[in-house]
Amino acid sequence: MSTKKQTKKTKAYIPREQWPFIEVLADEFYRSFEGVEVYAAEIIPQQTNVLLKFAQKKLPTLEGLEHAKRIRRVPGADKLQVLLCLASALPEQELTSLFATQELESVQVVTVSISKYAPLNREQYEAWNKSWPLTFREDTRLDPKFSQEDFDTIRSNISLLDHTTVVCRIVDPATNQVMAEERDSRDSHPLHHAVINSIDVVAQKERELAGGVGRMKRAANQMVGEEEETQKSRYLCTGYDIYITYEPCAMCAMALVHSRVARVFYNIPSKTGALGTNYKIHAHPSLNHHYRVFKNILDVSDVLDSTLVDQEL
Amino acid sequence: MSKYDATFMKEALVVAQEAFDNLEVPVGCVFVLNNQKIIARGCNKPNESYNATRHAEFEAIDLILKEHDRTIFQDVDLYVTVEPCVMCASALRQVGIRHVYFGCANEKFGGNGSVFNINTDSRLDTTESKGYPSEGGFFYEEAILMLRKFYIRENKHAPVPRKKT
Ligand SMILES: [Zn+2]
Ligand SMILES: [Zn+2]
Repeated sequence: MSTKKQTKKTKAYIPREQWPFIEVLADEFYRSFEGVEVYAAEIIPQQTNVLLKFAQKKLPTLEGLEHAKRIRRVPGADKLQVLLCLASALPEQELTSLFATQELESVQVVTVSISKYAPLNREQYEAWNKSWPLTFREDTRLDPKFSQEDFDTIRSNISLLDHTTVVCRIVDPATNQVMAEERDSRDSHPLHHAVINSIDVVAQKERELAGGVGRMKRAANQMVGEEEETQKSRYLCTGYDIYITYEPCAMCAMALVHSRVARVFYNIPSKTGALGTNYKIHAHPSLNHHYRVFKNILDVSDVLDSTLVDQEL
Repeated sequence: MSKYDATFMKEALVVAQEAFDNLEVPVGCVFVLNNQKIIARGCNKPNESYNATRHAEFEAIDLILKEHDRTIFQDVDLYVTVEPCVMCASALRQVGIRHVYFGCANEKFGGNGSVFNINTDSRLDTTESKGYPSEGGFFYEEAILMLRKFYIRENKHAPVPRKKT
């Protein structure tokens, strides 16, 4: 008899490397090392406090480098290097003359190259840590969590879609209930893409539920987005998953932002796609809602319709 | 050739006022054929329709396509009080709009320069989707004023979180 605490089966979450598909992350996760020049003082350990006080009082602050360690040991010598300020902050002669006035003439100034950006994953950390030691704390709390059962649900949802065209299925993950499933119908209307059609179906249901009159308590409008995020409000597709055969275009990707979806799973990238190929509308800093995107869920290369991929889907 | 005419932007502001009166974010637009004739007016309608994609541009495009073939857009200009968002900016490429005139910029969602340049991104060109010129700043103070009035009214009506007694 399992104890009360264990009744909720703790799911075994699968590490990212073993996921059967790929997450489309923001560009910052893929960028390579970019160095910025910084002055550092080479001193003997006893001078540390004097130097730090001097830097704090006399030198411009070291903004934007919180991810860099302030002090490092000089390999093979009983010396330390302490970061002072950006090389762009003042000319080196000015710095050395400042030193002179503080009886720190013996201190040698060097210029080091430090990673301009904080590392966002282990690969970046290990690569960027070489030129100057960085601090990095892997925060997996925000990482999406998938169990084997989740993979089966995802696979079954997307494998039922007809991959010879664009089909979009909207699912409430809490119940795995299909809220809408529509295909592309642009021959009757150029903007009737699969995503737009499916959102219309969900909206239609909402209207009927509300008796067709009246309006959503919380504006479903996300035109100009002044409304703060504090009121945890329910938007049309808040929390829903989207399964779609091809990568959506900018219109559809943005429609999913306005509708506040939670995750998008697509199988085949498209030439004008906006969730990985040309843009990452789901991860753009200035947009006030972000969602997770995963691609290459199934291998469907045999059924791929190459002419389709060239349109905006 | 497109030629800007202030009367059409003023008309778009009238439509935006209708949206304001209808408790929607005040954005309005008119579609003009051959610089002379308004063929559709679009009012922002996400709340009423429960559908966050029902922006002014989408409403008006649907009206036009009910009566005209989509090729009409080759001779049609859009006057809209706020810069089209990324969604609408992409939609406009796909219907083949000729030219866009807008009022104030849309810093958070703007697809005609503020966030992305959907209207000039050649990577998105296909047989069905081409870029278009877009110019802003027309009566932008009036457009911004209306938006501000909307958000002031919004916040006044926002439910004050009751303290749990
Ligand atoms: Zn689309
Ligand atoms: Zn829009």
